Amino acid sequence: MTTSVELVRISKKYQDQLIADSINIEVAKGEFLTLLGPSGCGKTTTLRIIGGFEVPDSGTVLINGEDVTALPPYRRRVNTVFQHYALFPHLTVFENIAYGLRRKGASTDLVKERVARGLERIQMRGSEKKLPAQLSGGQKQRVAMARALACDPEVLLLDEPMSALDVKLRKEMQVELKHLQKDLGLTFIFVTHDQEEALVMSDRIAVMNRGRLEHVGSAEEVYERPRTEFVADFLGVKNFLRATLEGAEKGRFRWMAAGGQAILSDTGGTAKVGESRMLGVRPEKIDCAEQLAKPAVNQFSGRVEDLLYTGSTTSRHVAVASGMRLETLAPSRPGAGVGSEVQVGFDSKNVLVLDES
Amino acid sequence: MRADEARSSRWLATLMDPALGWLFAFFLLPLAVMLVISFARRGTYGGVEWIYSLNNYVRAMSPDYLTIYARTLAMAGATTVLCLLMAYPAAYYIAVKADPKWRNFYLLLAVVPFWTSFLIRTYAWILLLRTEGLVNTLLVGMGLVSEPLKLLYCDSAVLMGLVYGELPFMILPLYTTLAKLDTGLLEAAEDLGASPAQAFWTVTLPLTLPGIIVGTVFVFIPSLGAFVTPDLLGGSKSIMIGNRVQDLFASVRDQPFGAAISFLLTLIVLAMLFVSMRVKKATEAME
Ligand SMILES: Nc1ncnc2c1ncn2[C@@H]1O[C@H](COP(=O)(O)OP(=O)(O)OP(=O)(O)O)[C@@H](O)[C@H]1O
Ligand SMILES: [Mg+2]
Repeated sequence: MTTSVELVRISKKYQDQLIADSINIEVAKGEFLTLLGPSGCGKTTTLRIIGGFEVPDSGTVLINGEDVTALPPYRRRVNTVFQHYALFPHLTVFENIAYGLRRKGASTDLVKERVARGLERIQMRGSEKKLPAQLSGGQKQRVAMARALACDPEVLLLDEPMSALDVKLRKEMQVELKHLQKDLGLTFIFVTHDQEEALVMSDRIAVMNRGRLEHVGSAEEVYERPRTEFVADFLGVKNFLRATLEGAEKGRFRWMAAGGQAILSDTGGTAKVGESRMLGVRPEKIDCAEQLAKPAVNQFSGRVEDLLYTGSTTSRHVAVASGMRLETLAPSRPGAGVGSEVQVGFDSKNVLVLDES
Repeated sequence: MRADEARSSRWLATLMDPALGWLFAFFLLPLAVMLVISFARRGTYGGVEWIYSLNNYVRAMSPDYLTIYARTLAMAGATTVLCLLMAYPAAYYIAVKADPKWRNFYLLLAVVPFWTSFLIRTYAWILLLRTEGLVNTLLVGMGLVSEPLKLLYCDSAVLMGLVYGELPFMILPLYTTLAKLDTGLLEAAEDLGASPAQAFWTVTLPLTLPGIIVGTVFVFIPSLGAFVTPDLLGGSKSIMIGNRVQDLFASVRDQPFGAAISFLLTLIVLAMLFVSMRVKKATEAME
């Protein structure tokens, strides 16, 4: 495995505010890495540092093992699909895609051939003469892709390229983009704040929080075993409970929650006996019924307080004795309504033990 | 409502439009009067004799006048080019590079000269440039030249005066288009391998063409009709067509001939405006 992009202790400040805080990451050749995080966490800044649009205050950017920290964007074999596409409004689709080739002094024939291939790839043959203003959002996004790819980059940076598209089109483009990346064998560094998008597309996800990479791992890893409370929260864990590790019990770990409930987990995480941790449980991992089919390791009884029906799924908020509230999520089918007494339960393997950020 | 009815009421509304009323009363009407006079004949005592012919226009095409037209066009052209070359970097700095906090202040600096009468400012240039003026005193005092230079009453003095007077009219429209320029496009250009210079030629310049056209029109047209500046700063040979028109109306008192020349000038200006508007439309249609 060869490394395509490597960031070594990259830091960047704007007016005393740390936007990138000692970022370390290695991206392999042909890998699809996603930077995932909430608005303002520094995703765009990190991408701009890789592209050469920002100079980090400290740290090194390596591309193919070469230190490019001081190189301007036009000297890096990295291309960007910008958040708002940044297509040249005065140039036709053809000239937009040809722009990078022309700067390299490519011959007319080569330009024609490459642009034709690019248009083929984005299924937009026949639109050569159109101006960006005459394109739909999805078409603009495709042209921006073709324009960046025409330069034959080693790394493609994508800054929320789908954020302006409607949900249906976005889903289609996600699949398309993923195929394209696999076919071309290119390194993609993709930015999004949409966790689903990140899970669908990425080989690895780097979850960012206030300028730091909190958890870097495969989609499955960050989803199933988030390292911190922030990562868990960002990836859809809804139930959090502070508890203290009391000890082992029948091969499991026994925790005591603040409200006095005992909870069993399969892992102890990084906690030692007597230490407290935040525990997390995903809503879809909690069963909820008037009578559970079989007893669960962690089982409580409570009353349904809220019921949110979204079509395919129904979410029930259950108040468990002693003030604890659990959010559950299950495929919609007739079941307990608001006010009914229910049992909720989840297995010890579904209890996540989370570190501080 | 029927279509023709709608059309006639729209016509009425257009005629009543105050802006058009002004245009008619203060521009089209005088122009029409001038046009009529331009075909008339000079009376013995400087009045107008209403005997119509094309004589004035034939005279206006004589070689003497053609040289003056050529000089005038060259002067106005040079003024425009110099203004553009000086205003573009200034406008670029104010709109793109300068700290946004200071933007309005810099713009203010660009228009501050308007607070004083143009005539006074031109006289100030005379004080600066004449043989015993500030510039020559300094140059001689520092020993850079032994004799005072002849800075005044020549073409370069006129050119300088025109550039000085018209510069703000170039800076302002350029600033407006440059301020609208999406700097993200320049980053995109650099991302695609364009050096900053290439990004300027292929992105910034084409996208600010509308501002360049407006600035050119704003500078070229007044320069074409300038007469105060060449009169005060120019020598006897620096005459421009505006001076001729002024002479014909004020001292020679040949109003019909002056009107003919003025009308030709107006035609040139209108033709230029027409062309520039077409170009501007074409460049803006892309956005
Ligand atoms: N040029 C700048 N000057 C000062 N602060 C900046 C600048 N650029 C970004 N910031 C700040 O840096 C922080 C991170 O910005 P960044 O654009 O990297 O966020 P992001 O993760 O891409 O967010 P989003 O999802 O909203 O695009 C923000 O708080 C922003 O206000
Ligand atoms: Mg961003």
